[in-house]
Amino acid sequence: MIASHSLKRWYLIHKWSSLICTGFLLLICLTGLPLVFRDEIDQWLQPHHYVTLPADTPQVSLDRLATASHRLYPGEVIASMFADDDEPQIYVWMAPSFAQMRAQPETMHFVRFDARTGEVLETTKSAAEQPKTFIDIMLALHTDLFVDLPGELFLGSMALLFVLAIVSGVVLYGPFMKKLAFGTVRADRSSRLKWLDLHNLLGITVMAWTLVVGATGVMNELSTPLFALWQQTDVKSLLASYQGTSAPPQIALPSLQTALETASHAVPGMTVTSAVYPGNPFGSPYHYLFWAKGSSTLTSRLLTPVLVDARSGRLSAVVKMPWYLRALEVSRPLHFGDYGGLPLKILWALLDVITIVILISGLYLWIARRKTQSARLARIIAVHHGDDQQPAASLV
Amino acid sequence: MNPTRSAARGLRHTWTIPLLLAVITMLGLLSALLGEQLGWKVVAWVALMVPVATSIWYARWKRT
Repeated sequence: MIASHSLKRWYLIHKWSSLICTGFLLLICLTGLPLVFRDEIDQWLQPHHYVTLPADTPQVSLDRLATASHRLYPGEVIASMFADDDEPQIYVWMAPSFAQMRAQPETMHFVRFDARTGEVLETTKSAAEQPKTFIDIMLALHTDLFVDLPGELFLGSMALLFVLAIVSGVVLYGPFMKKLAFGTVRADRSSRLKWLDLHNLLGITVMAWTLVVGATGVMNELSTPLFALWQQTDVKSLLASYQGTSAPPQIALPSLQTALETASHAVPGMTVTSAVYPGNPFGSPYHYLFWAKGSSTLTSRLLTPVLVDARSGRLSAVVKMPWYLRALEVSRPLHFGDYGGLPLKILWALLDVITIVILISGLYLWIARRKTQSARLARIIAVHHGDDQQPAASLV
Repeated sequence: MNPTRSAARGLRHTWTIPLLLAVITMLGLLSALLGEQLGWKVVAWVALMVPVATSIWYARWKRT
């Protein structure tokens, strides 16, 4: 059983951790709602159409896509290519130069190709010149408040407070429910009591889900520093032996398609989904970097980097990911709810709505409590000034 | 009855259903992640329906 002074401490922890994060958590929950259905919304706003070809039509050579992209945007560099496994399409991301890409990531743009015919399906202006889409805005409000890393760390700390609020709320649940059966909602008395019961009921019922989504949310907001840590440690020592060498200019690079085949052979059973060009700030200065993924629900979220030498075209390394990036990768599906079809997404959205009710009821309880307290204070002051009719005894 | 026994009974009284809900939720979250066949996805859907349905049932229909 919890001693009353420690109960009071938990109450204060619950009060302050939730008060600080509630506003931001409401924003996160509201913007998270459309983000759960991001793929469906994208598909609905901008439907992609493809020519019908036999299912075994081979994929076009990446070299052909590279040549076509350079022809479309002469003087620019290809940053990376990304093959979508849901749709027969390949995105070629380009930038004016790698220096510019590093300084202003929003100068990047893409060309979208049909993965079988090599036909250009779509070209875009850079993100800087394009109006933000609805999903872009939702994502920014959900993850970084339009200010990149500081925003990520800020919302990450709000998510951490949310986790603390859940834990302290669970601790308080026991003493609150000591004499009550599970699910008791005392609706016939004050509205504050009814909402207190609802807050407790909903909070404890979806506790496991809110804890998982809250904790994985914290994890996701740490992705930038975690990747930076990896680059500063493992990646740095991996690339140390190449120091002083340099990759040839893009037009003189060895065949990307051959490099892709080399990389694929190095990771049997896995599928290479993207190729990062040498010189890309998110890759190696001396290699093509390929990201390969497994085929199951879980392993398709676990990416393995494969490095192919950008001068010789030979395999350099299959890189082992550190545990903290593996943890990050596992935390993604558990945050997004995108690993069990549309029914799981709908359940995710419903649980999100329940969380919103918990947040609002918590806020209401705090306001209602303050009101009772200030009304009581006002009455005490009134009595003190002798202009209240009520007997003072009733105030205690 | 001795006091530890009644304390344990109190704990059980308060925590049985919340713990059960937490275990079912976790089973649901993991079965869709680790299971490949459709059956595992269905297990996840049913399991996650449990906290949602519990919330709605007690909040909306069951009034004491």
